Amino acid sequence: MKNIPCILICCLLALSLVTVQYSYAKDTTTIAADDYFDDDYFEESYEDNTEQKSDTFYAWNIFWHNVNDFTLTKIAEPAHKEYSKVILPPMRSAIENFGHNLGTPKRMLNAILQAEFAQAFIELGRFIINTTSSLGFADVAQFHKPLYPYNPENLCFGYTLANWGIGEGSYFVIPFLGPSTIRETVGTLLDSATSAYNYFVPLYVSLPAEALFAFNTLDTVYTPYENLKANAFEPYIAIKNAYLENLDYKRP
Amino acid sequence: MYKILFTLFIALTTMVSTAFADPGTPKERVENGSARIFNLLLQEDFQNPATKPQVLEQIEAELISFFDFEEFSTRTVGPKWRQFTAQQKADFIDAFTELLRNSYINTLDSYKGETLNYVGEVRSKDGKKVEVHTVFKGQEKDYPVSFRMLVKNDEWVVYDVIIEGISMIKNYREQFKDILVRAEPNELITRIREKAQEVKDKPLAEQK
Repeated sequence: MKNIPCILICCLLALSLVTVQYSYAKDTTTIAADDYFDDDYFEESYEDNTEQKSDTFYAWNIFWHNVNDFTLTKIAEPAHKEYSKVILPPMRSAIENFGHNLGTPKRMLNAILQAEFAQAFIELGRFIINTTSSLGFADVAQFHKPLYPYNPENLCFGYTLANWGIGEGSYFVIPFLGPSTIRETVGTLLDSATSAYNYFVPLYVSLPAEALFAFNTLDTVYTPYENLKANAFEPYIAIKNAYLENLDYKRP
Repeated sequence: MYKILFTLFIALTTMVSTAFADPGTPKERVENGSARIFNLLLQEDFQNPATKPQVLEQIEAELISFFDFEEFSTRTVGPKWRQFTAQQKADFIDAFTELLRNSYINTLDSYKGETLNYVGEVRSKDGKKVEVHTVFKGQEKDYPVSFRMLVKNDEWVVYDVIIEGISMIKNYREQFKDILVRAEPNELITRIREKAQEVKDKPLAEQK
């Protein structure tokens, strides 16, 4: 039993040697596909095919968009501003790291489901380093840069489902959580169902904990949201478009 | 005789080269353009309230030569652009330029020496359009920023900015499309003017 950490570290080392050749070797100039630069929207020949992307749940979405907008800007944002005055940045980043560290099993599971075994090993390595050094409150492992590009934001069920070829589905606003699509909503549900710590502590601990982790970094949500809204003519459309475009960019 | 031929040759080649001025590469354009703007932002004159307006004027001149607001405008309106009268087109470009200026000019104040690094590009098959990929190294986070460019008046100009996959012209276009279903072009122009004023009066929350 004593040998396990040692074996794991050896595995990690071996893996990082194997993956050296992958490291960031990219061709810088590529030739675009035919429709890549289809953006001469003023041309006679331009066909507007975005119309097909209809908003199936429009009534539901617009209602929850308004509720969420109110909750975020009128309740959560002022509350977070007060919270930031008391809980200073080092504390907030400690809470963020702790929450992130608890998400390791979920991310490892997704890495395996995506056949990204190198990512799974990096997750494991980071978990060992961060838990043993600081119980996960400090991201000590960030100073040990893996040779394989590490993308923790891809290790969620939304990405996994997209990786399996499942289409994003209609735009769907989740009550109190914000913009999503059908696939991403399923992903979000699976994500919270596989958050391992939910199984070790009772719900009255894990639910508030999850809420705290989300609330802790709320400034990364409302700052861009407020800016987008301030520049928008039709906030609902601007946010829907920005969400879907960004999702397209983040998913495989 | 040879001398005359030689002079003729030189004269011809210089004429040809001035007639077809080399637009350079999009990479150079982005790197030089951003370097010039960043240098101006780092000048002490920019921090000094007395000299700030002058520096701001230089920065605006740089931005106007780097971004082509006419190309921006035609694309945000979409197919309805052809139904605009010449006057409406001119008004729209004016109003939209003003809106973009007011929306983003205050973000320049929060500049603290961040850099814009070239990472690659995508070219259209005919080479007329290029998307230059860069990374904006922020204080806490890196942002992928792409510039869509084309050659206009022998120079590469930007006609769309894509930040984290979100195209600026597409985002405005979706909104304008919704407005133009119900409203006349003049109404849209009025709304843009109002928005430009509103943004000017109420600067954005500090950019993250």
